[in-house]
Amino acid sequence: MEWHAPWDIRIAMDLFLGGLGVGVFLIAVLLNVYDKERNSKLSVMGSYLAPLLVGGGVLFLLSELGRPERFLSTLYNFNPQSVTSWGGLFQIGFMVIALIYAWQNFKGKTNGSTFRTLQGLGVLFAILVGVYHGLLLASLGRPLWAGGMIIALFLGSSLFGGMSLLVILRELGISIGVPAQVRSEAAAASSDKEFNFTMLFFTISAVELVLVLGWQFALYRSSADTLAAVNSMMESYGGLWIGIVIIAGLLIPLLGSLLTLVKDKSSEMSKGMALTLSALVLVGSFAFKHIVIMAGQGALPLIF
Amino acid sequence: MARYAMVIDLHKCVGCGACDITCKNENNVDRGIFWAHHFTRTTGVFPNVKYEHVPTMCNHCNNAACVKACPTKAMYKDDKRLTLHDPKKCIGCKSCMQACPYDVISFNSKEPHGFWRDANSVIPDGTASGKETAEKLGQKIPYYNPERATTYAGIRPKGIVEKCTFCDHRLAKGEEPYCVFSCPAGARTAGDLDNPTGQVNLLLAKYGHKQLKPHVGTEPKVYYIRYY
Repeated sequence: MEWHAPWDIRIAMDLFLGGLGVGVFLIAVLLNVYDKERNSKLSVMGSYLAPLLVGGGVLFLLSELGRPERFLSTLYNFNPQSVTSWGGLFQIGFMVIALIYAWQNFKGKTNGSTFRTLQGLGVLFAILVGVYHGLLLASLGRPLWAGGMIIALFLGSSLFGGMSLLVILRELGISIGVPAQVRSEAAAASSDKEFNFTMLFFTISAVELVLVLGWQFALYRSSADTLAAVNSMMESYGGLWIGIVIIAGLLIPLLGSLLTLVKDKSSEMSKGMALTLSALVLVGSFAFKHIVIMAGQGALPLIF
Repeated sequence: MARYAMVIDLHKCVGCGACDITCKNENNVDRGIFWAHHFTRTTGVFPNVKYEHVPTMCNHCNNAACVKACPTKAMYKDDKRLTLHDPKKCIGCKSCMQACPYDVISFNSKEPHGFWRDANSVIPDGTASGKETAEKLGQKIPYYNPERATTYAGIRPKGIVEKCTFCDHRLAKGEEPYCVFSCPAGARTAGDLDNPTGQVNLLLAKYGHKQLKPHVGTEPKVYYIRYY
């Protein structure tokens, strides 16, 4: 009997797009809090993108379900032991908050306590959704996904992807649906408190690279089941893992941003470099999630 | 209340696969899906070679990972500690398949029993197609066992998972699971773990036992005795 992975690329798309969504949301809020005037355009764009991305991911998830029309039964047949049940709740909660938050941004109502409350709740639910992505895999007990590292890895990858997407928007100057008032505020802002994307880019890429390499090292020092799983992953996806995930998706962005900071720690990457590195991060982030999800489903040896 | 378990005597098992096939008959299981299955393994170097044929099935674990993973409580433990599945609640997310360490849960990715709707025959003009057979017999699904539908969906539809139920429909009538009944070597014994003088406990006490992957903590209730 031929073996098939129960989950296909649509689950990777769900976790990738969902991760980008929460990453975009968190970075957009960070920008808003750090320097609202200067970063308002990007922050508003982020608030629009976040629910679209998470919603897009959920559509991929629904298309992968055998009975998508029963999806809402995860709410009324809620199983508190199931991480998937909690995930449904978190994603619905995030979508509602993110949509209201986006609407507030669209209407330019960004100063009241309602806006700050939404921001706080949004951050909370974004973190819950980001954590859920890794926790979902960890909860299933398969050797490659076991342990808490996968949670940090997925959350880190989501943040990095989200930030890269915002960098691309910033460099391309895209501002769809941003109120005119916000656009003029951004143009008039002073330059003495500029948010440094390159520093954040460098920091996240360094942390994520250490996490990925540390995770892989730990897998190689684990039990026979886990060792078999990581060997199988490297056998099937070794080239992609090293080439796309490690080198293109993490190492090159790390070195590129480091090079810029070495020249001048307060400077930003050039437009070409920022776009190239951000695109690499997005490709690397998807490859990372796809490989981990597919390889983790490998058939397990039945042993006494 | 009973706590059902199964003992499989690997010295009696001849590896005929009758359990795999009769289970399909009893439970209307489609092609490509096995509720009762087996794995084989050859180890060693001639002349010291060991060949193992180990029947597998849902272990009806005490601490079932599939029950914890299911987001809609479609997988549940009943009052006899069997791990059962409610097809009406299943959303086909396959979380249970991922969580099960024994790979004994299957997904219906297409309309089941398509063989009986297929007009192609194995040997054109030589053998009857599934469709012809079904039409001649006047049945949508020949050999369908209506008894199965008394406690579970008689045929599980597209888009949901399915698995061994320990023949709960037979247990309800005081009968043993069909794989136990049909094993020509008498290698399988089913019974109540809470009955200290029952055959299951007697066998476990006499021979000792092994379980599949005890280290994963699921507390499986299929016990293998007289292993290789």
